[in-house]
Parts: sequence; structure tokens; C-alpha cells
Amino acid sequence: MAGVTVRMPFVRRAAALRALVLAALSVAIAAAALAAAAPARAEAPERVVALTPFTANILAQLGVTPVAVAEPAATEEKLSPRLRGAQRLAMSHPNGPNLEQLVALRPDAVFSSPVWRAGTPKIQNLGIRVYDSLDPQRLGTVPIGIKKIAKIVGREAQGVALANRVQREYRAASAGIRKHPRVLLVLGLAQYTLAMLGNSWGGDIIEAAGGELVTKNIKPIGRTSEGAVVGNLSNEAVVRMNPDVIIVVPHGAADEVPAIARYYRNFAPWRKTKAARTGRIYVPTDDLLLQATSDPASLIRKVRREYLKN
Amino acid sequence: MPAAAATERPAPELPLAPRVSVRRVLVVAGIVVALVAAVCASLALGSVKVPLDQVVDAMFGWLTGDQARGVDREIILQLRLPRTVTAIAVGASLGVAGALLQGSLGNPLASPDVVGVTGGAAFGAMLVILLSPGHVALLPLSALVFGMVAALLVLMISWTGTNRGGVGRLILSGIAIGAIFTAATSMLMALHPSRAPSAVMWLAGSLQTEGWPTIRSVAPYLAVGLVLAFCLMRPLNRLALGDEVAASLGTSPRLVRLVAIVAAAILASGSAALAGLLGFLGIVVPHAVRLLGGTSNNTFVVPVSALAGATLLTAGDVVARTLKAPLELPVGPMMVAIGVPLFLWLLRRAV
Repeated sequence: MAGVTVRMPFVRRAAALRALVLAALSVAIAAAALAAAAPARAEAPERVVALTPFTANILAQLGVTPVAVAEPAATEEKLSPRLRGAQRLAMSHPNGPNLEQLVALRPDAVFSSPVWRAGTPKIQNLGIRVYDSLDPQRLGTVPIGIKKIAKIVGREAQGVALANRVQREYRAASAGIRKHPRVLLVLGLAQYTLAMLGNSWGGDIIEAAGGELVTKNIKPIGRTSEGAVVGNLSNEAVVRMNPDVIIVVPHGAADEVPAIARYYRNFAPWRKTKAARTGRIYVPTDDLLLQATSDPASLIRKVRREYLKN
Repeated sequence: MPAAAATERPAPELPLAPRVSVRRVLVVAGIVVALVAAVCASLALGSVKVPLDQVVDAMFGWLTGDQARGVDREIILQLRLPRTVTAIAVGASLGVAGALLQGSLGNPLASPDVVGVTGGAAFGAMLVILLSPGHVALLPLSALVFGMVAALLVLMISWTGTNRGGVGRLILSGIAIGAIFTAATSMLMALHPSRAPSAVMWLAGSLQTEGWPTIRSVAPYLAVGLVLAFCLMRPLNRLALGDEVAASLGTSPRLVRLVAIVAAAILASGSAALAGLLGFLGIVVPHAVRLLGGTSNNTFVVPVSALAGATLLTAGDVVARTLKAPLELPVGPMMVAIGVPLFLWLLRRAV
């Protein structure tokens, strides 16, 4: 009996140990199986291509040099000197880059934009990651865009620091505003008054620079997510709004800007506005008011200095 | 003498001197009333509210040469009035152009597209908008010139070789030339995507112009086209009897067709120069007029198409600029939204 009484706890202990080992093994196998089934956590891409000036410049500031960047148009934001070595890709609608050229670069990730979204699935089908919604559409989303880019390339700490610095700088650029002129911001395309609305990048910059955007309360036709930030404004409304300043952002080559400026300064439907009468119709030589820049503070200062004079 | 024979034969004279019917008088009266209403609405309504007494004062001041100033007056006289005049001129021109082409080619599907004008004018406009935006003031001229160049090419091709001047040859030449210009336009848009929004605006049709300066530059061409069209009404009636009968009545079918196409090309090019592409008017308005009046007589169809086209475009423009004010919608789709239900209703009754 004693032997039995002695052996029974031992047998129970051994059985319990076996059960414990089996359970641990089962958990380990299940965990391994789950890990194998779950998508692998995206590793920071080593070879990246940037198709917008914003993403290219932010990557450069984060210390990541893209293997290629989109060939900037004549009036677009200047690329950082750090991108001098990156190959230039010519862009064309609807895909953006030539897919054969792109594949030859063996990129792990492509930073694209909504403009080239038609090409996104085609690039993804080639096994390349595509991020096409990181270009900020509003001034307030610049820091968010920077942090997202930084996270993707595995430089979160630098991203936070850069985002905070950019935010601090553009807030400082809005300080000390003395005058708030009423501003109409239009896309200089033919004889139509394609006005930038309050939900646009350009509208945000004007407001940050102390201007009062005369179209800020006009609701766009269509969805903002689909790019409805511009509206064909009636010239009757322009005359009634009577802006102090009209800024026409041309979509032309830089050498065409003087002719475009002459056209709009003599544009008959605007002739009675205060802007036309006081000679304050401006035509910039760049298109920084149309799309996000990595340095909004400089842009705000430029708008204040050259156009709003406040 | 065929001309003398024509005056001696009572039967062919019928289409040349139509009897005045109550139905047609009512149709003309109805369209005139609608046009007056559309013009009043066009002057009174817009993106901004101008009190009616200000509108009336501004119009009386304009008529009497009063030089008073003010924002409301500026809006009425420098923006709304030229726009209303443009709508009337373009609507009338496109209605007449369609009537001329359908009458001269004996083809119910004939419109300014058929003689290549639309494709040529679009190419001319895109050249300026996409390639040389700095010279946008030349847009109306470029559209006008290329519309007429396209028509000239079509005429040169169709008036040479075998079966020259034949309707089939002309239509096929028009389709070929139109295709070339359309392809060139597409290529320009693909190469300059960033400027595409204004190209789309122009292609969808818009009466947003610089106002009086643009009207002044195009009006002489439209006037010539309309005068030619009204001179062609009776010859077109003879042509409707068949080429042989028309020839026996002293009318040269080829000459009438040639002049009709030239007039239609001038009218359609001038219209494109002012308002972009509004092809719908050219094809639908003459049919609607025939269905309403119950006749194909060109002395009725041509002038009434002018009135109906002017009415439809003026009304469409009022809707386009007030529906989402202060933003404007393209007038082409608005005009289709108003015109197509009316046309389908007429078509259903006719069938």
C-alpha cells in the first residue's frame, strides 16, 4: 500500500508534466502556424522611388535617397540638392512612370500620388508596394504626411522631429500679420475662372498668410476626396466679391508666364475689381500654391511678402 | 429655260411658297414667347442677385446711352448682356447650320460633325489651351480658323476625283478629316494632362467668354453665315425634290450644296469659337422644328431652327449658371438635359 501511496503522486506528477509539455508544444506550434499564416510585417523598403516633389524632398530630409524621382515640370517645386544623384523618371498619363523603366529600377516601394492613381494597381501587380495618398492636400496634414512617410521607411523618430519642426516653422511664418486683404486664387487655365476653394492647399496657404480667401465658404461640386477643390466661379461673383488681390497660378511653362500675366491683367470681366484697378493681379512663376511643398513656411512668407504685402 | 419652267409649274411651287398654317403660326409664336422669356431670365438671373429694378434701369440706360456706373450695372451690361447675346447668336447659328446640312445633304444625321468642323475647331482650341496658354486671347480665332480649315479639306477631297460633290463622298471625307483632328486633339490632351481641366471645360461647352471683345471678333462671320443661309432657303427646297428636278428648275445641286456647307461651316466654327462644342443643337433642333411644324419646308425650318436654337441655348445657360451658383456648370449637358426630353416627347408623338 505504501509503495502504491508513494508511487501514485509520482505517476500524477509525471502525467501532469507530460500534459504541460504537450500544452506548451501545442501553443508553440499554434503560434508558429499563426505567425506563418499572418502577413509579414512590412520591412522598411531599401530601394524607393518618389513620384512627387513632396515625398522626394521629405525622404531626402529623412536621410533616404530614392533610386529615382519624377522629372519635375518646369514650374514645380525644386528638388532637394540631396536628390542630385537620383535617376529622373519622365511621367505621362495615366500611369505616371513607364512601367518597364520602373521595374528595371527594382524598387521595393513607390511613393506616388492621386494624380497617378490609375497606375497604382499595375505597379502593385508587379509586386511593388505603392503609397499614393501621402501627399498632403491641406496645410494641416503636412506633419501627418511626414510622419507616415517616416514610418514606412523606418525612421519614425526623425519623422516626428521633422514634422514638429515643419509645423513650428509654418506657424511662425504666420506671426505678426498686420493686414488681411481679400484674395481670389485661381488656376490660370484659358478664359475660365477656376477658383481654388476653401478646402484646397492654396486656400490654406492664403489663409495662413493672413489673406481672406473670398471663396472659402463656397461648397465644391463633387467630392473633396476626388480632388474637388476647384470650382468654375462665375465672373459675376468675382465682380461682386471685389477681391483686393487676385493670384493666378498658371499651368504653363515659365517662359509663358509673362504672356499669361498680360492676359489676366487685361481680362475684361475682372476690370472693375479692386485688384485690377490697383494693379494687384499676380501671376507666380511656380505652382507651389497648387500642390503640397515640404517647406510651407517659406511659401507662406513668400505669399505675404510678394502678394499680400502684410 | 428651266427657271421659266419652274415658275410655270404649280406643283413644285408648293414647297417654295408654303401656305400659312395655324399650327406653324402657333409654333413660331410659342418659340418667340419662350425665347423672350429665356432672354428675360438670362438678364434677371445669375450667380449674384441683382434687384429687378436695377436690371431694368441698366437695360434702359444702355438703350438710351446713359453712362451711369455701378457694380450691378457692370454685372448686367458687361457680363450678363454679352452672355445672353452670345447664347442667342450661338444657338441660332448652330440650329441654322444643322438645318442647312440636313437640307443640303438629304441626311437626317447631318450635323457640323459631318463636315469636320467640330473636330477642326476643337483642335484649334486645344492648340491654344494646351500648347500656348499664354496666348489664350487667340482661342476663338484659332477655333474658327481650324474649323474652317477642316471644312475646306473636306470640301477639297469630296469635290475632286470620281463622283465629286456626291453626298456619300462628302460624308465619308468629313468622317476621315474629323477623325484626324480628333486624334490630334486626344494626343495634345495626353501630352499636357496638367492643362486638361480647361480643355474639358471648353469641350463641354461654356458661354464664359471675355464678353463684348470676343463677340465683336466673331460676329461678322456669323452674320455672313446667316445671310447665306437665308438666301439658300428656296434653293434647298428645290434640292429636296431631287437633284434632277432641282436642276430642271434651274438650280445647280452641287453649287447649292457647296454654298450650304460653306455657310454651315462658318456658322459652326464661329459658334465653337464662342462657346466650345455644342453639337447637340445642330442635329436635334432642326428635327424638333420639323416635328413641331409638321413640315420640312426650309423657309420654315431654317428661320425657326434659329429661334429654337437660340431659345434652348439661352435657357440651358441660365440653368448652368444658377443651379450651383456662384459656381458654373458646363452648358452642354444642361442643354441636353432640357432638350432631350422635349425632343423624345416630340419623337414619340410623331411615331
